[in-house]
Amino acid sequence: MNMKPVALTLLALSSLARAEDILPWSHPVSPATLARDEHNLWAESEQFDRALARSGKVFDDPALNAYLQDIMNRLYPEFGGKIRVRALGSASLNAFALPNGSVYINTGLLARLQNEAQLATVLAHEGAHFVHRHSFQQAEHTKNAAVFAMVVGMAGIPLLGDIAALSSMMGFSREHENEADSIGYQRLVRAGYAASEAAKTFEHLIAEIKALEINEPFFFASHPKLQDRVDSFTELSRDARNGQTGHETFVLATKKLRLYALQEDLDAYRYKQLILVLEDTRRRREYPPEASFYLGEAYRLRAQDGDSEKSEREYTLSTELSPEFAPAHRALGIMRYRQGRLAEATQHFRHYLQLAPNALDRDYIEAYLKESGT
Amino acid sequence: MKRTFGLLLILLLSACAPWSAIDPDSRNIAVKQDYTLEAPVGWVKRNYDIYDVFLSRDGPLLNFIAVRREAHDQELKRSKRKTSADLLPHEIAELVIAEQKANEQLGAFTVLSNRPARIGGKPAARVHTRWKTERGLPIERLTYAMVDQKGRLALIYEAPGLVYFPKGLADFETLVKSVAFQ
Amino acid sequence: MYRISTYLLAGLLLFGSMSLPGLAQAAYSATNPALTTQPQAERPKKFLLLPPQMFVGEISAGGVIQKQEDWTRQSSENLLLAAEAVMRDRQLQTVRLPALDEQSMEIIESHIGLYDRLALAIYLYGRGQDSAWKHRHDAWDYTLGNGLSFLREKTGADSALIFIGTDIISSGGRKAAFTAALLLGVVIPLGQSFITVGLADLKTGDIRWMSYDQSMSLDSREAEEAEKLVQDFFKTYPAP
Repeated sequence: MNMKPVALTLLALSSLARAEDILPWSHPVSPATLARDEHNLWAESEQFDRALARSGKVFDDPALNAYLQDIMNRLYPEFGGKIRVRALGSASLNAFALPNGSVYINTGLLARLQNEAQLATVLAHEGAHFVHRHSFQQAEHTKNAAVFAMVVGMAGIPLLGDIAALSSMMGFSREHENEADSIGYQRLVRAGYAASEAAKTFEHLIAEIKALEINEPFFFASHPKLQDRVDSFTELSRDARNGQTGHETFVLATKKLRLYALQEDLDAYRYKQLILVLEDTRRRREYPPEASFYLGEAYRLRAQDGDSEKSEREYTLSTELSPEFAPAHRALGIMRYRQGRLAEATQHFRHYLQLAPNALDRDYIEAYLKESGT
Repeated sequence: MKRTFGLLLILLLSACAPWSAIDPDSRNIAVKQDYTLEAPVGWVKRNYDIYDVFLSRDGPLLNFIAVRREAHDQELKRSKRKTSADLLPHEIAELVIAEQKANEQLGAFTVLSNRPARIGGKPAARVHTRWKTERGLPIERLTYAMVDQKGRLALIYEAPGLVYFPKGLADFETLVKSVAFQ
Repeated sequence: MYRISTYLLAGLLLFGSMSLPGLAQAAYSATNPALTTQPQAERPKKFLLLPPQMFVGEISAGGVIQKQEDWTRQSSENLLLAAEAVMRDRQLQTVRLPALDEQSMEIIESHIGLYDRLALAIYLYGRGQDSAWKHRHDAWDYTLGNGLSFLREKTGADSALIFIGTDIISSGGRKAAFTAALLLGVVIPLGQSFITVGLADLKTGDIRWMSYDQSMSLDSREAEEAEKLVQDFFKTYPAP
């Protein structure tokens, strides 16, 4: 008897998916009560939580993290705070849920949202992944799917599994994502948020991603097409009652984070993001006067025709609106230094060092002062 | 993940590819009729590399010195920026920092010091940074970088902040001082 | 996010690519020359057993590796028990790490992070196998530094012993897949392990000795196998 077809068939049928048997949580669960496989997933997640904390990736703003937690508790009150939310210091547009109920939302995504209802849309979606145990279902599916791939392809057998594959970043199944959208939407409405903001979360992000020509993986990469989700949420919210957007509380709670995001964007030369945000007069109002400096820097980095004049205008505006803000004086000093207007450069550099005597780049400025012959 | 596999690849290749101990009587290394430098005694040179010069004292995971010259029109890997000969030293430093900050795997990234310097008599930036691994181990990197008409040159020294960074620092600083352009 | 130590994984891959059958036990160990010349009275007497840094996972039929927390705990406990037994036989004392505050644990964790790198660096370059690196073995100065010296007072130990390793165990499905694949003329990787043990002086942090083991068949969840492994490790330890 030819063993090959038998072997293939046996192998391919050797593990049948049982993801359908996995019911959602209805209340907080102790990991000690979990079956072995799921308990191990939770344990790995706990280690990942600790590693994130140890490596300094968790964004250090207790007030912000408390604000995020309040929203999650409002969305999933029966879990009594067990779905834990924290902001992660990362520029990418991502959020993810771990099998143990830890939810992380990157500062890059947070800074892009417009109000609390949009934030709640994201958190409700992630909470749904946890409550409906999508990670555990996905793990079972991945193991089984891999058998088929191996038998059929006999190629590219991975040595390593990857728990990150279970997170939102890398992709739950299309079905899981649809389910999370649907459940998340229900939670959003039940918590009293404006249902119309669900669609706007994605509309707004579509516009931003198009404008920035972002290619890297982001929150929605593996999800159903963004436009489909906009359409689906628009349909769902057609007859929904008004709810709150929470714009003012969001702006206040995220003030420190959004300034941090500006600096991070600047440090990483993401000038397009800066221009997109700060040229929008409505959003600009949500930032302190120092934001003009960041816009000036963005024009400088973009360096298109006319940007030099725009830079100078923004730096000058920053010094007028926020005279104690040192970096704008430095920026003007460097501009003058490059133009050979050394007396003016000296004036700005000295003012900068007066305002920021402990500036990390003090030595550079003093070197330029020396070269200016002053 | 890419950094991990890059590191693993380098580790694998480093285990297979030959190394050469620096001969105390022949420490001078000449790179492509561009510049020379003197390697420190007690270090070992990797004989092939993506870098012009790659040295380690105790193994790359514990310390390494990497030197690389690139053309201005070659984009920096993460920031996608190009350099130019007229960059001011603080702008070079900004690029150095941007490249490191763009690596999402670096936790608690901090600039420890940032000041002007000289490489082979030419104006340069000296940037000292630190980040943490998932076990909270601090890793420190000292970068000297400069630009001229030929392109950009970077000399990097990296080691765990516990014990090993201070251990090899003096050797690295001496190596930087030895750089001479031809 | 891998739970496997990145560097120990490199060790696994190196073993796979280098295939080193029949090497003498001594080649899988590295000893600080200072330890062998140390007077008896100054040799390590009391060993602090740091929590083993083990990753014990299962490789499924489809080649997916998943860490098994309970197996990892079992393997770690087996290694500790085995180390305690070996030390007892040599009339040496052991103590396990007591409960400590968060700050102390962070210090220990960061030093374990350094040790992880040291272990692979010593394996690759510190054993004197490569002529370009021979001087590293002869002028041995691998160290963790004195950052863990506070543990001397807390435990009374003079040295720390630490296990770091990876033990990937084939699932039943994987073994079945292996058999089926053989019928198709293809060999797929089964489980493998790469485990190290090292000794550090707690006062100076100097690494005194390390030993390594690689196996395709070890199952560290089994107490007898862990015991044999640790006994084999200590065959290369300079006798007290």
